[in-house]
Amino acid sequence: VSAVERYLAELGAALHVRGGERRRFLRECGDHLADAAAERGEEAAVRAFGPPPEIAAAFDAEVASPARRVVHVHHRRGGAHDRWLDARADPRVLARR
Amino acid sequence: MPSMDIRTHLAESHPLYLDSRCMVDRVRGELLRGHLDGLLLAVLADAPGHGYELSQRLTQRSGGEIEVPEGSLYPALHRLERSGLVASAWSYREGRRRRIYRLTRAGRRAAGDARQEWRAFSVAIDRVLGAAP
Repeated sequence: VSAVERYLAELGAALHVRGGERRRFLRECGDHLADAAAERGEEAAVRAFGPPPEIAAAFDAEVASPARRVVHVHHRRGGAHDRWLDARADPRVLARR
Repeated sequence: MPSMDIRTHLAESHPLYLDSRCMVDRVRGELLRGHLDGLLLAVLADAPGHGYELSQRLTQRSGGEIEVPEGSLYPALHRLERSGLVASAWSYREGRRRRIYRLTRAGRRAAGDARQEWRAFSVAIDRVLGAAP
Protein backbone atom coordinates (compact mmCIF):
# COMPACT_ATOMS: atom_id res chain seq x y z
CA VAL A 1 0.00 0.00 0.00
CA SER A 2 1.44 3.37 -1.01
CA ALA A 3 1.68 6.36 1.33
CA VAL A 4 -1.05 8.14 -0.64
CA GLU A 5 -3.38 5.14 -0.50
CA ARG A 6 -2.76 4.80 3.24
CA TYR A 7 -3.43 8.51 3.72
CA LEU A 8 -6.69 8.37 1.75
CA ALA A 9 -7.81 5.35 3.76
CA GLU A 10 -7.15 7.25 7.02
CA LEU A 11 -8.93 10.31 5.67
CA GLY A 12 -11.94 8.24 4.63
CA ALA A 13 -12.06 6.49 8.00
CA ALA A 14 -12.02 9.83 9.84
CA LEU A 15 -14.70 11.40 7.64
CA HIS A 16 -18.28 11.32 8.86
CA VAL A 17 -20.06 12.85 5.88
CA ARG A 18 -21.59 10.33 3.48
CA GLY A 19 -22.90 10.33 -0.07
CA GLY A 20 -21.91 12.46 -3.02
CA GLU A 21 -20.07 15.12 -1.04
CA ARG A 22 -17.88 12.46 0.55
CA ARG A 23 -17.09 10.85 -2.81
CA ARG A 24 -16.26 14.16 -4.43
CA PHE A 25 -14.07 15.31 -1.53
CA LEU A 26 -12.06 12.07 -1.46
CA ARG A 27 -11.72 12.12 -5.25
CA GLU A 28 -10.39 15.68 -5.21
CA CYS A 29 -8.00 14.89 -2.38
CA GLY A 30 -6.76 11.87 -4.34
CA ASP A 31 -6.24 14.01 -7.47
CA HIS A 32 -4.37 16.62 -5.43
CA LEU A 33 -2.14 14.04 -3.75
CA ALA A 34 -1.36 12.38 -7.10
CA ASP A 35 -0.21 15.74 -8.52
CA ALA A 36 1.79 16.58 -5.42
CA ALA A 37 3.38 13.11 -5.26
CA ALA A 38 4.45 13.36 -8.90
CA GLU A 39 6.34 16.56 -8.06
CA ARG A 40 7.64 15.99 -4.54
CA GLY A 41 7.21 12.33 -3.75
CA GLU A 42 4.45 10.61 -1.78
CA GLU A 43 5.78 11.20 1.73
CA ALA A 44 6.20 14.95 1.19
CA ALA A 45 2.79 15.15 -0.48
CA VAL A 46 0.89 13.57 2.41
CA ARG A 47 2.86 15.59 4.97
CA ALA A 48 1.94 18.86 3.24
CA PHE A 49 -1.71 17.85 3.02
CA GLY A 50 -2.20 17.89 6.79
CA PRO A 51 -3.24 15.36 9.44
CA PRO A 52 -6.20 13.26 8.18
CA PRO A 53 -8.34 13.71 11.34
CA GLU A 54 -7.99 17.51 11.14
CA ILE A 55 -8.76 17.73 7.44
CA ALA A 56 -11.72 15.35 7.79
CA ALA A 57 -13.08 17.28 10.79
CA ALA A 58 -12.80 20.58 8.92
CA PHE A 59 -14.71 19.18 5.94
CA ASP A 60 -17.37 17.55 8.16
CA ALA A 61 -17.85 20.87 9.94
CA GLU A 62 -18.29 22.73 6.66
CA VAL A 63 -20.86 20.26 5.37
CA ALA A 64 -22.75 20.38 8.66
CA SER A 65 -22.79 24.18 8.96
CA PRO A 66 -25.64 26.23 7.50
CA ALA A 67 -24.82 27.79 4.13
CA ARG A 68 -23.68 31.38 4.28
CA ARG A 69 -24.95 33.61 1.57
CA VAL A 70 -23.76 36.89 0.18
CA VAL A 71 -26.67 39.24 0.53
CA HIS A 72 -27.21 42.77 -0.60
CA VAL A 73 -27.41 45.15 2.34
CA HIS A 74 -28.39 48.77 2.00
CA HIS A 75 -26.73 51.05 4.49
CA ARG A 76 -28.21 54.36 5.49
CA ARG A 77 -25.15 56.10 4.15
CA GLY A 78 -22.61 54.99 1.59
CA GLY A 79 -24.80 53.05 -0.83
CA ALA A 80 -25.01 49.31 -1.15
CA HIS A 81 -22.40 46.76 -0.20
CA ASP A 82 -22.23 43.02 -0.45
CA ARG A 83 -21.41 41.45 2.84
CA TRP A 84 -20.76 38.00 4.14
CA LEU A 85 -23.52 37.19 6.50
CA ASP A 86 -24.44 34.20 8.51
CA ALA A 87 -28.18 33.88 8.33
CA ARG A 88 -28.35 31.97 11.58
CA ALA A 89 -26.12 34.44 13.40
CA ASP A 90 -28.02 37.54 12.36
CA PRO A 91 -31.45 36.85 10.88
CA ARG A 92 -32.36 40.55 11.26
CA VAL A 93 -29.98 41.42 8.47
CA LEU A 94 -31.58 38.95 6.12
CA ALA A 95 -34.96 40.42 7.00
CA ARG A 96 -33.77 43.79 5.67
CA ARG A 97 -33.41 42.42 2.16
CA MET B 1 28.55 26.84 19.31
CA PRO B 2 28.34 23.32 17.80
CA SER B 3 25.72 22.57 15.18
CA MET B 4 22.82 24.15 17.11
CA ASP B 5 20.91 26.98 15.49
CA ILE B 6 20.27 30.15 17.42
CA ARG B 7 16.52 29.50 17.79
CA THR B 8 17.14 26.07 19.31
CA HIS B 9 19.75 27.51 21.63
CA LEU B 10 17.47 30.34 22.76
CA ALA B 11 14.52 27.99 23.20
CA GLU B 12 16.59 25.70 25.44
CA SER B 13 18.21 28.41 27.50
CA HIS B 14 15.34 30.90 27.65
CA PRO B 15 11.90 29.28 28.01
CA LEU B 16 10.22 32.67 27.53
CA TYR B 17 11.74 32.88 24.08
CA LEU B 18 10.08 29.57 23.20
CA ASP B 19 6.75 30.89 24.50
CA SER B 20 7.02 34.00 22.35
CA ARG B 21 7.94 31.95 19.27
CA CYS B 22 4.96 29.67 19.90
CA MET B 23 2.72 32.70 20.26
CA VAL B 24 3.98 34.23 17.01
CA ASP B 25 3.48 30.92 15.19
CA ARG B 26 0.00 30.55 16.64
CA VAL B 27 -1.02 34.10 15.71
CA ARG B 28 0.39 33.57 12.23
CA GLY B 29 -1.57 30.34 11.83
CA GLU B 30 -4.79 31.95 13.05
CA LEU B 31 -4.30 34.93 10.75
CA LEU B 32 -3.80 32.62 7.78
CA ARG B 33 -6.86 30.58 8.64
CA GLY B 34 -8.90 33.75 9.08
CA HIS B 35 -7.87 35.02 5.66
CA LEU B 36 -7.91 31.74 3.76
CA ASP B 37 -11.19 32.54 1.98
CA GLY B 38 -9.86 35.91 0.83
CA LEU B 39 -6.58 34.35 -0.29
CA LEU B 40 -8.39 31.72 -2.33
CA LEU B 41 -10.60 34.34 -3.94
CA ALA B 42 -7.49 36.34 -4.82
CA VAL B 43 -5.70 33.45 -6.53
CA LEU B 44 -8.90 32.47 -8.32
CA ALA B 45 -9.18 36.04 -9.61
CA ASP B 46 -6.02 35.29 -11.66
CA ALA B 47 -7.61 32.36 -13.48
CA PRO B 48 -9.76 29.29 -12.80
CA GLY B 49 -7.86 26.31 -11.46
CA HIS B 50 -8.01 23.01 -9.60
CA GLY B 51 -7.10 22.63 -5.95
CA TYR B 52 -3.46 21.72 -6.46
CA GLU B 53 -2.94 24.66 -8.82
CA LEU B 54 -4.48 26.99 -6.27
CA SER B 55 -2.19 25.75 -3.50
CA GLN B 56 0.80 26.32 -5.77
CA ARG B 57 -0.35 29.84 -6.62
CA LEU B 58 -0.69 30.62 -2.91
CA THR B 59 2.86 29.45 -2.30
CA GLN B 60 4.31 31.22 -5.32
CA ARG B 61 2.54 34.54 -4.83
CA SER B 62 3.51 34.64 -1.17
CA GLY B 63 7.15 33.88 -1.93
CA GLY B 64 6.82 30.66 0.06
CA GLU B 65 5.69 32.49 3.22
CA ILE B 66 2.15 31.14 3.20
CA GLU B 67 2.00 27.49 4.13
CA VAL B 68 -1.38 26.11 5.05
CA PRO B 69 -2.11 22.39 5.13
CA GLU B 70 -3.05 21.77 1.52
CA GLY B 71 -6.01 19.63 2.54
CA SER B 72 -7.55 22.62 4.31
CA LEU B 73 -8.18 24.25 0.93
CA TYR B 74 -11.01 21.82 0.17
CA PRO B 75 -13.25 22.64 3.14
CA ALA B 76 -12.65 26.33 2.30
CA LEU B 77 -13.50 25.81 -1.39
CA HIS B 78 -16.63 23.92 -0.34
CA ARG B 79 -17.61 26.86 1.88
CA LEU B 80 -17.01 29.39 -0.90
CA GLU B 81 -19.01 27.30 -3.35
CA ARG B 82 -21.96 26.99 -0.98
CA SER B 83 -21.84 30.75 -0.52
CA GLY B 84 -22.15 31.31 -4.24
CA LEU B 85 -18.73 32.95 -4.57
CA VAL B 86 -17.14 30.06 -6.44
CA ALA B 87 -18.47 27.54 -8.94
CA SER B 88 -16.84 24.28 -10.00
CA ALA B 89 -17.15 21.54 -12.56
CA TRP B 90 -15.23 18.42 -13.56
CA SER B 91 -12.97 18.93 -16.53
CA TYR B 92 -10.44 16.83 -18.44
CA ARG B 93 -6.91 18.20 -18.75
CA GLU B 94 -3.94 16.32 -20.08
CA GLY B 95 -5.91 13.12 -19.97
CA ARG B 96 -6.83 13.53 -16.30
CA ARG B 97 -10.09 14.53 -14.71
CA ARG B 98 -9.94 17.55 -12.37
CA ARG B 99 -12.42 19.66 -10.47
CA ILE B 100 -11.92 23.20 -11.78
CA TYR B 101 -12.96 26.16 -9.64
CA ARG B 102 -13.77 29.64 -10.91
CA LEU B 103 -15.07 32.84 -9.39
CA THR B 104 -18.69 33.82 -9.87
CA ARG B 105 -19.67 37.46 -10.30
CA ALA B 106 -20.38 37.67 -6.59
CA GLY B 107 -17.01 36.04 -5.95
CA ARG B 108 -15.23 38.66 -8.03
CA ARG B 109 -16.89 41.41 -6.00
CA ALA B 110 -16.01 39.59 -2.78
CA ALA B 111 -12.37 39.31 -3.89
CA GLY B 112 -12.30 43.10 -4.33
CA ASP B 113 -13.93 43.61 -0.94
CA ALA B 114 -11.44 41.25 0.72
CA ARG B 115 -8.56 43.17 -0.85
CA GLN B 116 -9.90 46.52 0.37
CA GLU B 117 -10.58 45.20 3.86
CA TRP B 118 -7.08 43.72 4.07
CA ARG B 119 -5.51 47.02 3.02
CA ALA B 120 -7.42 48.93 5.68
CA PHE B 121 -6.61 46.29 8.31
CA SER B 122 -2.91 46.07 7.45
CA VAL B 123 -2.57 49.87 7.48
CA ALA B 124 -4.14 49.97 10.94
CA ILE B 125 -1.89 47.18 12.24
CA ASP B 126 1.16 48.84 10.73
CA ARG B 127 0.33 52.10 12.48
CA VAL B 128 0.64 50.23 15.77
CA LEU B 129 3.30 47.59 15.18
CA GLY B 130 5.33 49.58 12.68
CA ALA B 131 5.55 52.72 14.78
CA ALA B 132 8.93 53.39 16.35
CA PRO B 133 8.74 53.72 20.18
